[in-house]
Amino acid sequence: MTQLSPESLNQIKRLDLRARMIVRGFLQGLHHSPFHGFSVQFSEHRRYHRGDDPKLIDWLVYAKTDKYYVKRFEAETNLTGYLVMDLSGSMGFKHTQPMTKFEYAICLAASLCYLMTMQQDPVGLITFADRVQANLPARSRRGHFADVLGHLSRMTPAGETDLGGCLTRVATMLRHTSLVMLFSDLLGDPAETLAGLARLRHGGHDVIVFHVLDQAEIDFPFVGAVELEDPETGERFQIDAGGYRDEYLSEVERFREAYREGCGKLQVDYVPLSTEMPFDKALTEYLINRQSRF
Amino acid sequence: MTFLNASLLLGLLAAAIPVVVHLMSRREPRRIVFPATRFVKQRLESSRSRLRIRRWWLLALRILALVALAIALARPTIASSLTPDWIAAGLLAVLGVALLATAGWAGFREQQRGLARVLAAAAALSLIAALLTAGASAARGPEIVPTEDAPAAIAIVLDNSIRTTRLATGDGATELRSDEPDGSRVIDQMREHARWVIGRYPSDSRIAILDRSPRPAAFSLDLAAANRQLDRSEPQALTRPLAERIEAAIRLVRSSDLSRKRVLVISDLTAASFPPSEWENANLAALLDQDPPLRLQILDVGSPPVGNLRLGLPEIADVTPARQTPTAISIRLDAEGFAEPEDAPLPAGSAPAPPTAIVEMRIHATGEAAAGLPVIRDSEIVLPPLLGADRTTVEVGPGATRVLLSVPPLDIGTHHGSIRILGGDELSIDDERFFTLQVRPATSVLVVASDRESAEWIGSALTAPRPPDDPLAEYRIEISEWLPTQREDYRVHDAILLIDPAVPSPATVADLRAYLDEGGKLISLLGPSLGGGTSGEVIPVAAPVGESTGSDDWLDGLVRRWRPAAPGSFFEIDRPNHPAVASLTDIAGGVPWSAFRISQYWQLRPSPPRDTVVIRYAGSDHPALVDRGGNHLLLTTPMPALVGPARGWNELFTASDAWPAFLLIRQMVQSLVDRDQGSHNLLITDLPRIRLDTPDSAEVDINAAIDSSQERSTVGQAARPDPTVGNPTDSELSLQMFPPRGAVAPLRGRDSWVTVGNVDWPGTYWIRGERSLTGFSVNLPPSQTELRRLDPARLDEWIGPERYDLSSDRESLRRTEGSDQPTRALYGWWLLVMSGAFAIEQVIANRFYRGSHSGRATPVRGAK
Repeated sequence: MTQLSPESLNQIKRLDLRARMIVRGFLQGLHHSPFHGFSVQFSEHRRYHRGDDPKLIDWLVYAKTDKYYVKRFEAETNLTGYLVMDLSGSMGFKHTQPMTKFEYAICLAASLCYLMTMQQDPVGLITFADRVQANLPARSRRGHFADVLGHLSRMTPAGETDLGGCLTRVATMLRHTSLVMLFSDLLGDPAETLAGLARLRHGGHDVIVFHVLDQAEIDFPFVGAVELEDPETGERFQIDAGGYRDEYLSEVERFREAYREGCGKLQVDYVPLSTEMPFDKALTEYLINRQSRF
Repeated sequence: MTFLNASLLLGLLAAAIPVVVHLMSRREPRRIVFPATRFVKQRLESSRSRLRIRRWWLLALRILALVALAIALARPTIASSLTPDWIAAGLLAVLGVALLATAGWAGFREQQRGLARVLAAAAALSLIAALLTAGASAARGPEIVPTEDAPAAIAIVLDNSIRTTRLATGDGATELRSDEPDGSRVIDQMREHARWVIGRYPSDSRIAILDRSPRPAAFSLDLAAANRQLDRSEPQALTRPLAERIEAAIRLVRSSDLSRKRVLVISDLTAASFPPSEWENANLAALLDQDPPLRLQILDVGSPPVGNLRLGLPEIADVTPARQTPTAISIRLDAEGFAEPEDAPLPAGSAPAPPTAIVEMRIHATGEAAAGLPVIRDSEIVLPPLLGADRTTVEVGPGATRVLLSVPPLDIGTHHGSIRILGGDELSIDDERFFTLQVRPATSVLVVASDRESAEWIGSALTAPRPPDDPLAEYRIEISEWLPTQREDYRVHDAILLIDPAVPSPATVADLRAYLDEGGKLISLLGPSLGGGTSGEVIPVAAPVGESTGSDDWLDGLVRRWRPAAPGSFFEIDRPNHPAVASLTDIAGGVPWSAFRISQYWQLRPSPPRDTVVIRYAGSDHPALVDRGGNHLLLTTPMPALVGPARGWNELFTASDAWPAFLLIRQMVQSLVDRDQGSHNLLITDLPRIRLDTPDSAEVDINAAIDSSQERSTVGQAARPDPTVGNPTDSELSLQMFPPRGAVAPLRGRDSWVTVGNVDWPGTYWIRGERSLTGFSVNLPPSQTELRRLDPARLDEWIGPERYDLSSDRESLRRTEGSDQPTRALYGWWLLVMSGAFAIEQVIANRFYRGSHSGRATPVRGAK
């Protein structure tokens, strides 16, 4: 487990190696494959209605019964995944941890990308800060994994964020129902963010929110008088950190609770993470949790 | 309030530390880039004010904790009497702090700002009231005497009376002699206790050791000096009143600027140390009550007597016995602490039964055996040897027993002796008493009487029990019908006794005058021969009133013959201490003078100050016996009045038992010729004034004795009297005194009298001049060695129960040490305040609970 901790993985520079390490370590820790849910299974036949794709007509049934039937499946043949990365300046924060929130998110995204690519599922990449910046369409070919990793490794977090707006825009961009994996610290207006998520859900997308926070953001380990500076807005103010800690912790808790509740209502998977957590543990906990719901 | 360690109040400066930290921590806050500022921003405003309040609280609590610690270490103490005031101040302070806390809490809420201000004002009022109450209590309270490790001013009064030579009661203590240096005397116990007390005080204390000697009260330089002083405090025979010494101790202690003051009296609490006459008039209570009040500590080291025999003063029948005449000495023997015989059988360990005592009388040898003695030989005083003279065995009763001893016939000279009880008891100092007898050469007395019978009668009265012509008699009596015709013939007589004299011629008066001026003594027993056959007739020769023949006339002031109404008057002693009647007044039960009627006498108008009326006639102010100038005694009625015209004047010798008149005439002559020459048997409280034997009367040739002893004496020079004033005929004499204790002391005498100042121990004091050897005996008053215990109720009466503590051992003494001023230490309370302030500070600062916060902040773990 220790070799999959952010500290140890940070020594490996190549992102594909990191992803492989994470996934292998994670697969070794599993007893059952978690991927059955993504496989293609025949479900039923139903009568063809106008507007159905004629490609789906089962001609064999037509030959036997002279009626148009279409095949229905358990899932779509291929689960299209989109890694949606928050590139705002706040993601570049780290306090005492070896990785910034963004680096942690990249590792995690690369791992998931590797997993899906191994499964022949197409994976796309969308990055955003105050607006949607890069858009790598979903492909399932082998070389695409390298493209995604190349993109990820070139990115640096900067600028402000408009999480709600960007999510709405992503929702409009995705034409097929997809698995949207959002990596963000969600430091924006929760109402807008939840509205964006609702918009995605409304488009039929399956959404997983990886809420990445630095351990310092969770613990607020500062003491004495400190001057805090917001990396996105450059705003500064002085506080007595020691005396403020209780307030802060309760605020953070309330903030995460708001997301947990909002996501629960939208049937969005909410995964709170801190940058000190080992990757395999983060992945395993989440995936086991998800599998239990299918 | 008083701080016992006031110097530690400097610790209050530590209160500046939180302020400094507060000011320093305000500078240069650390800048941190932090993305999650939105959580901070949301409550920034409300939190800022709360933070400010909390920071002020933290600052106040930190200051309070340090101040409380500093105050607690300074050990504040208040008088118990002011406890309610301080409680009120404390409650007001707590109320103020509580109101302040509530105000701070209300201040967090916008809508309660008004309430917060009201509460803050109330808190301020409460705190000010607390400060005022505390200030008033501190100003009003008495000065607190610090305890234990603070330096103290202590005066220890040792009641080192002679009774402290007594053996301390303990195992087999009564078998030991007190003069053995075995440390078991009461005085040693007292010293031990005093040392223990001194050792319990810090070395910068001021300590004074007072005892009952007249040494002035002063603080010792240091503890070692105090211990040395203790060693020097030996039992004193001549003591100052204990109450006076305690008063001196209190005054001394009060003069010290140290706030902790103690007066400790170590006493054996015998009744003799606390005579009511001294203690009823002592103003100890007023002294102790002065501000700040002191409390006397009395340590009782005594115990009831367990068996002590005490000799009284020797009562000598005649201190100047005639040559070769035995004398009787009677002495009282008291038993103290023995069980009553009827109490038997006694339980074990109780008082022993009264023993049989052997009383022995010894007399220092004179003559050849004592030639040249006393002398200093080999640095030691060699006294003439003591020879046993009489011894008797007495069954000691529970009360007083009288012992009669007989002094053997003695030669002329001064004889010293002692009476002692053989065998020891618990107090040995009263087992021996001393006496001095003087056997003087016969005194020549000329008795002039018109009838020889009366003269012989008086003569035999004087020389009794020997006949008048006995050479061993005290007096050499010469009887004559006439006064000598030649003035020189007067001088051979030491005294002249005129019985019923006739009116003298002027030449005779002048001769008598001259005789008296040369030191002669005259006794006149006036009678009918002076003339005036009928009562009321003025005598022709003696001066009538206003026509005196001379103020120094020996019959000056005679008025008339006087016949008191039947059945006549009688003597009434006017001056009982006059030597002519002193022994008569000492007689137990008094003299029945009323049985001896006086039916006729000469009225005399005395002219003071020359005349001293010794005896008066009862029922009038007419003098009967007048001492005229110290060398002339005038009795205005005749003696013996047995025959002739004088018969019928009085019944002094005609009554059936004429012993008072017999004694009176003897005493008159004896006092006048001064055979006693001042008493040589003294109490220790007396100031001895001793007449030295004139060289011609002393039969012991001192010069020869010195010459013979010089060859044997290694320190002969020291034993020889001061040669610078060697001539004994000079009015100034140089003498040596050999006291019973201590070194030989030089003495100076004048006109054959010597006054001795330094008599401080009972015993025989030998005084030796070049030609004379005399001395005197000094005894303790028997009351001084009474071991009867004092009833502690008397102390309550004299001092007041609230002004002293009586302890009998060290433990109870230690307990009473702190009780002189009821105080209450606030050390614990201030520590409590400090702990409370520290605990609240910790809670507010969230020091202890950081760990649990971080645990709660990991949501994934919590999701397990």
